Amino acid sequence: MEKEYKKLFTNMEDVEPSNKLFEKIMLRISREERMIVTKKRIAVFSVFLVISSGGFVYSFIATQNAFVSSGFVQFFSLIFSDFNIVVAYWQNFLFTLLESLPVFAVIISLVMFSIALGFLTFLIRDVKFINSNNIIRKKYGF
Amino acid sequence: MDNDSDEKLVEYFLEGEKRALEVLVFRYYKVIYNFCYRYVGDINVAEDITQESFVKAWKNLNKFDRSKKFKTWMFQIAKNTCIDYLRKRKSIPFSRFENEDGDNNFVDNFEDILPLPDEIFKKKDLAEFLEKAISKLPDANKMVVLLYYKNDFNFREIAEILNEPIDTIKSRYRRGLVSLRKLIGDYEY
Repeated sequence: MEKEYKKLFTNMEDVEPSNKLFEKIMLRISREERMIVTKKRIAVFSVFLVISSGGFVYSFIATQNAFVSSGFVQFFSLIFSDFNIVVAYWQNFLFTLLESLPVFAVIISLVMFSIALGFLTFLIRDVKFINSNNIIRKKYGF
Repeated sequence: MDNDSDEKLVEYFLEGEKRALEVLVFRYYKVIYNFCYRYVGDINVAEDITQESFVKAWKNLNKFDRSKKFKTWMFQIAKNTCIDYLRKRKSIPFSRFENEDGDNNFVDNFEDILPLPDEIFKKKDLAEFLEKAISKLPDANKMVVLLYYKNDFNFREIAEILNEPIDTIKSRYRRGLVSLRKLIGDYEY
């Protein structure tokens, strides 16, 4: 009896999936693989973003202080108080301004800002990727 | 690698051989797709569930008990994914013939399974007829019969896949065949 039924079921045709199903599965798996890596990267980037933001705030305050202590602010304020003298001696004035500019502090601040901005960009890109993947998953409620 | 056993392929994959996963997916994606299609009855959803099932399998391959059959495990994942989908859609189909305990009074009144009439094999549109007859079976019985005859699982493996006691599976199998035989018998040749 069982053989008869077995024979009967050999007549039942399989439903053919779309010819790209295999590729779709492999693509989903590699996407999931990327998701896992991305999630780990988000965690690392978040930590670095906090550190670099803190570093930027600290270097910004230090740069502000450096501007005051180097006399740059005072020299610069001459533009508003004694504009005619500044124009008359503009070469000396420019040289003095450059000399009093806290270059190192400014560079450090800019570097910290660039680093924080870089991490923020990476973080946004990764979060976008995770969100787009979640939308696909939610489509069928998985 | 193409001729290696499933369990060996899992081992290769866990050792870092990515191609082993491709071979495994290629080996099973069509049968899993067909299983999902029979479960949810929609070709597009079946494709998505098939993808999701393989993703789940990939994620949990390191937890796979290599003393068991990969095929059974894979079908188990597919079945659970189908149920997840149907639950989310709040449309788990319950057979109108079955009560909550899975008893089927309608079929229980039948005699033992009869042999198939010879005429059935002479039928021109047998595949289509069979498809229609199968679709009329209660879902629980249909899945057992299909897993047994289409996917070559034994009762113990089906019980494992569907997470039901083996006696329930045997009784569903019997009921499925009785119903199918009746549908075939009702047909005028």
